[in-house]
Amino acid sequence: MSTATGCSSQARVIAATRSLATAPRPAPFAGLRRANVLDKDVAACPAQQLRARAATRGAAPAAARSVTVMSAAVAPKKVLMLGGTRFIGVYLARQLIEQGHEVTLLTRGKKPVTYRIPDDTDESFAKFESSVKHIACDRTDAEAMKSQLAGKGFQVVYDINGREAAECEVVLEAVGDIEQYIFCSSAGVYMKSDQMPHREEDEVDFKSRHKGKLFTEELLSKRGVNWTSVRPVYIYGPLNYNPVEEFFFHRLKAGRPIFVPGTGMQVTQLGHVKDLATAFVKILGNPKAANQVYNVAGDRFVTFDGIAKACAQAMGVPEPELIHYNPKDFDFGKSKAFPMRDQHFFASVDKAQADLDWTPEFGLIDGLTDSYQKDFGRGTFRKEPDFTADDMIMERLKNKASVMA
Amino acid sequence: MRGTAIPQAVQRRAAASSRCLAVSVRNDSCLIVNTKGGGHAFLGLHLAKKLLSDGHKVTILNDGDEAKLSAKAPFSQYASLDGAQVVWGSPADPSSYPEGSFDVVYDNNGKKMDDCQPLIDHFKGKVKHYVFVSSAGAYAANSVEPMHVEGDKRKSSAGHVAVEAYLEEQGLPYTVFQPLYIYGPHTAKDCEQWFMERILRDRPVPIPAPGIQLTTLSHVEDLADMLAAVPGNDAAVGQHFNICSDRCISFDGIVKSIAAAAGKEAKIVHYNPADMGLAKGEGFPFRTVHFFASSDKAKRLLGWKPQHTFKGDVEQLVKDFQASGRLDKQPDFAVDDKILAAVGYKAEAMA
Repeated sequence: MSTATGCSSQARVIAATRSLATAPRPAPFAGLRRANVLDKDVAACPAQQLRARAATRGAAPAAARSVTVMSAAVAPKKVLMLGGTRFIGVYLARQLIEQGHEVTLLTRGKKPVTYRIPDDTDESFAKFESSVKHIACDRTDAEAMKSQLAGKGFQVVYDINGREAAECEVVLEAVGDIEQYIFCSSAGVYMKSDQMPHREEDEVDFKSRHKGKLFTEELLSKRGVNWTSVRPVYIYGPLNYNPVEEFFFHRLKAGRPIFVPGTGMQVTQLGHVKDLATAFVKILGNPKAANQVYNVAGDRFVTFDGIAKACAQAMGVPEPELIHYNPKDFDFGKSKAFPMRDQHFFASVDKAQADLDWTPEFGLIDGLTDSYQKDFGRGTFRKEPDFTADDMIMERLKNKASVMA
Repeated sequence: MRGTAIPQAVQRRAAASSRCLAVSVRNDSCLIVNTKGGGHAFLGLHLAKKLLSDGHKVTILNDGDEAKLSAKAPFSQYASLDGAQVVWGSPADPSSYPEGSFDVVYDNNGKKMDDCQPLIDHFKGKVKHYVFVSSAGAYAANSVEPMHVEGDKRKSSAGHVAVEAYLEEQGLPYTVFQPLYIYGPHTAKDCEQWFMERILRDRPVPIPAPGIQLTTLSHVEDLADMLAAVPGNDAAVGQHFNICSDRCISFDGIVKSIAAAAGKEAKIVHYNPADMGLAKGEGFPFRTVHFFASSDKAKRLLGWKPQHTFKGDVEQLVKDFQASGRLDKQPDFAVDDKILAAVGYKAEAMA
């Protein structure tokens, strides 16, 4: 429990004028800190000190919030984005360019680098198309990366598609000294817990399928680079390649019931991709974000049953029939019966709201409506529907009914 | 420095509070109107303690009969309050109100207009801040987005809502706080103890299915901190705040964490309350739907931060329960046995 006192306005000014370049580096970790990748050594971390002081200020909340340690306009940076042609980066690259940054996307080049999206206007797409740069490279090829990136003067790296620490290592080796490394991690790293929501200081699970993200976060902190990691929950929005809302839209369109595991009371959370992109933008040049982890998603939580109903509302169709089943009674093989992990899964975003002067714009219904109107509702989707699992459940229920009759 | 030439504007001693304030604060005269029982009762005690340590003057008007109540928790602790004046009376009867003027009135008693209106009418225009401790139970359950956020729809039947509307209509400088379930020392109403009674006796715990329902359990001191942040705080005027922990926990999770802390096996038996023919108030002590709320608004506007989580406190809670002497008593487990029989629970043979 912090008992910091002496939060003079003078200390605030000193903290505010401390630039990224002269900020003291956090104390190096002793060995592998498996319980938590956050730097808990408050004395070593300037951003934590700022937060501790802000938290112990009692009244004058308006003043506490208005202490932003960066000027409103961030100086334009030369930005390297790993990824950027599929989902998050598509929106992020556009926002960065609008903010005046020079953005280079690094991809293998298999997918078109610039293509018009539903959110584009003629002007915005023209600007994006003429401004964005591209480097074709395989990010896992260390030598190719070095030859492509060395001496290019990139100041900020957005690592949107990195999965393993080795991939991040290649980038760090190739790109030289940078001001900021901003990494897209995942809230899937949190240890499953009965006490919710997940908060950034919570225990993480080095056995989860997202452990590569954790190792990447560790590598970044060990390297002493100014890093920030963002942990989204379930991202949704137009162009989503992960069938989250698409799963429900397919079934609603087909007039099928929606099979929900358990009671449907499981609580989870959606986050609109545009809100996520904005949070990423707000991290750039923000000293508060130095060596920090942020959960980023919508600010409200939703039940499994609730998502199904909300998707129907977004589509403008009647509430679907919801049928609950016990997932333990089935072996669905490779077919996915439900797009979410069968547990509570939601995270608090109040740290991002406090530090980044960010708050999600989209709520559940308007966010899903946005996704529907700009994607599925126009006839576009990523995966053909697979109703195998649905039919299996339906078959079993029919058999039960006929047995009981 | 007290007694300076500047009337009523006194620098709070930094040492008196764990929070360092950027603004000077009055030493206010606070009246706590306290309830005679239920989950809120000990909130008055802890609030009084916090206000006193912050340097305020505290008077408690407690509802009820002193002879009947002063031996019971939390009222038995009033003697330990250094400097508080305690008066026993009736919040509905202005003639029983204590003499003197007050800067801040806390109504930690009323649930409906009958209880609250006399207080409001009496103190209208006479106080700088009027605090109503309402209830998050007034929120309508929402099966789509279950977490309660200030401004969400409330139950039409909730008496608290009419009181809040009256405060608004009468133009009082009010703040409304909406608590959920509260635990901590000297409570008048069981919270986690219901689980302790069973787990510490190696009994199975009947939990309304599916057991994943989330509830917020908050430590009374975190609530007292938030309530005590009100005097002199203009940001709080005209606002509603959920007053609770920033964590929630599932029913099954409560059992598991108590069992782990106590070194016991967690024996959870899920059942459907609707099938049991239980009378009102029988069975599980909490609402069986999700019941949790966001306290982000209080964090943003009041600079408040919770110091406790249930999981962080559970070891101490187990120790407190073990020291309480309750394990020597024989609670009535008839309802438990009825439920266990109905679901066909068979206790495993002791090894």
